[in-house]
Amino acid sequence: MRAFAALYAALDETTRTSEKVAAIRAYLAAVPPEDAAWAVYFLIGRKPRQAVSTRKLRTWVSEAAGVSEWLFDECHEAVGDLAETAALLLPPPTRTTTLPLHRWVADRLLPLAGKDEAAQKTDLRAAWDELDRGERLVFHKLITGAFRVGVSQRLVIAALAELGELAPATVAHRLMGAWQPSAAQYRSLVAAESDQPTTSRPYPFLLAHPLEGDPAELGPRDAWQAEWKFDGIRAQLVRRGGQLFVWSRGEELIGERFPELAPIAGRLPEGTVLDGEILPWKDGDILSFAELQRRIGRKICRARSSPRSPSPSSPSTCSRRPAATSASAPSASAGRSSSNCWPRWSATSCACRPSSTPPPGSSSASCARTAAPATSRA
Amino acid sequence: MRDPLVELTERGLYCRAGDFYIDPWQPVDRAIVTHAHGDHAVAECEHYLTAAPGRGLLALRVGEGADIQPLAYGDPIVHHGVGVSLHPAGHILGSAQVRIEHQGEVWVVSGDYKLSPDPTCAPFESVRCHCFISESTFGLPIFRWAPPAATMQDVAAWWRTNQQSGRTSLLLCYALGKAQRLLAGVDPEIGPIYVHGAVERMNAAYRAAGVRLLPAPPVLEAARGADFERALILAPPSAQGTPWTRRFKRPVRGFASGWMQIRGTRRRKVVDRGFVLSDHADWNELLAAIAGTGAERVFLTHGYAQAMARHLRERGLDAHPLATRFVGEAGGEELAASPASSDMPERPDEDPAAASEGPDSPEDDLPDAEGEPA
Repeated sequence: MRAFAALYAALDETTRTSEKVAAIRAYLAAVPPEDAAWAVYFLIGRKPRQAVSTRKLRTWVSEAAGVSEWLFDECHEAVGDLAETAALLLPPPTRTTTLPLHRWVADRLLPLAGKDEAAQKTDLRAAWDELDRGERLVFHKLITGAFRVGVSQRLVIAALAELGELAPATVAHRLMGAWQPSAAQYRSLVAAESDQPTTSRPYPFLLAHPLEGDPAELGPRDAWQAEWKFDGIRAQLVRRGGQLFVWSRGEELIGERFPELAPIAGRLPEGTVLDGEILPWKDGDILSFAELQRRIGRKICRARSSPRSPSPSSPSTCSRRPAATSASAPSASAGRSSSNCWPRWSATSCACRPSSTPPPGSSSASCARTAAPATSRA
Repeated sequence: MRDPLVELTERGLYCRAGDFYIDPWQPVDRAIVTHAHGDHAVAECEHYLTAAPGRGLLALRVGEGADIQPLAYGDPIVHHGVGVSLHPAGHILGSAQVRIEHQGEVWVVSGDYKLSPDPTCAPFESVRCHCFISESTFGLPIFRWAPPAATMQDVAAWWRTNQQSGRTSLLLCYALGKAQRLLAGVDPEIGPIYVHGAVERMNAAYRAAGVRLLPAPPVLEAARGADFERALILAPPSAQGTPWTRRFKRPVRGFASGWMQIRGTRRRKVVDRGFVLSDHADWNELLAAIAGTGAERVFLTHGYAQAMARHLRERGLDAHPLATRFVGEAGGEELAASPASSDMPERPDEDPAAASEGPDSPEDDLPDAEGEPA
């Protein structure tokens, strides 16, 4: 916990990208792999669910610090950050802790959520007596589900890539999908060859960036192709091991919300990955995004139970990327392009990519005309 | 009920019985000045009374030609039947609390003070009184300082680390008080220390008053090709971003101030490292000082005066804020004037600005709008 709190402070103290990457790399190299796994998990923005409400934290900290709640609020107003306010107000610890990060997470943090108020309070008091200000700050952020640090996933990937002497695209791919932090998981993250099961794993979603400079900066026009940018839900369909996995942009499995997609699985060759937009489609027309929104909140849909809902399908214009069948393929693909895994860039109204580097197996028909927005989200 | 011995007027804190002001913010006939910081010492008063060790500093502030009467700590004088004496406040060299006695009633005006040790000035002395007019710059319980020796070690460690990467340690600090305290507290074996011209002027006044400070030549007088890469540079916050800092290659910037206790303040100051080092009392010191006076009435002059007063009232004291124009510790003005909103955003995860930053951040090329500060 101490080393992770020191890393948090170091990342908080510098605005230089190179120093942030160096700090992450030094931390990951120095700690046991179990700790490194959890650190990566937190740094890329995954977090355990909130275990303690901010209201309870405020009450218990006020009590432990011997300040009235109005005074806590005055302090919070001056500091601007609840976890930090709490860390500053608490009396100094009487002990120190050498418990490593993964043990703090497994033994002290994750069990908190399932406990009753009295037990939570007892646990917090015990933790406060062992943690210094910097450690408390991180601890409070983790238990209130507010952990954020000023690094982008790109920087974490850069640090991991340097450590494992891997292409960043390979690391990015290994971080995708659902995984549980563990020593084995971390080792395979930075290993030359990964033996982690990859059946369901999607590829990194390449995102659209607004072009800030002059379009001429993009180089010759015939090096690009434009694609329609439809207003649907970005998703990857992964067909592997005889199964179909539908991943959202937020790396959530959303297949159950779109049962209409299941029959597609049988028609796709094994090892195919489609990256595109899920669109509601009826009588040859694309329907409004609102039709899709109904599905987003649901956990499970049955195709026949929603007769008014149109049947979603992947439009022909989505980027088709029959996937690589081995884990090393993304880096091989990246080797051919100057950007991440696949060169996919979206302008505001259309998606473009350099046509000189078509993804393997994709339709190479390039679209030179400027596409108009298909629909616009209200 | 008697008239208050000290009242708040447009020109500042005024003792009617003695017809004098304490730290007025407009020129007056007679001013007792607690210390030479700009928000406590105004120029063009007819007569000044100040603690003897601070005479030179006050002359620097209000002009050599001013009529300044020095008074040794503890020596009583009587003016219009009002007894006045000055007592060490531990804030900076020559800082004093003003004890005022009239018809058996004793009031003390604290000026700025701290209780923690400082080798460059006399330590705070507790003075019993009926009414205590106290500062409250850091009057919230989030402000509790680590022992200054620990902070000095942090500064030393930071300096060594910067040396190892061949980068200048540029430590921003208030030119009067903080700079001298750092100079007296940091390990001189690590490397050379240079100062900004504004700091040098104050150092000279300290040395003239008999305070022993390490040699620390002004940057402008340093030999050509001076080894700034190994050096610690002490400069006022106003020097940040001026051409004066251009002579240092990729400096690492630190800031020493009590406000560095809050991460958000450090970020707004755009420095790499904050050191929590203040010449003001922290929350515990304020409470201890106030309790030590035995006063039943307490007025709080600046900082978190409302909160501190409410807290003291909850503990049975007759405590109220007093709207003076003192500002407290330099570097926190914007914070004291308008406390940060309750939901100050953290740096976003996917900050596009951060993402576009190269290894050589453009912040090293700050605009040179201000020129060398005076």
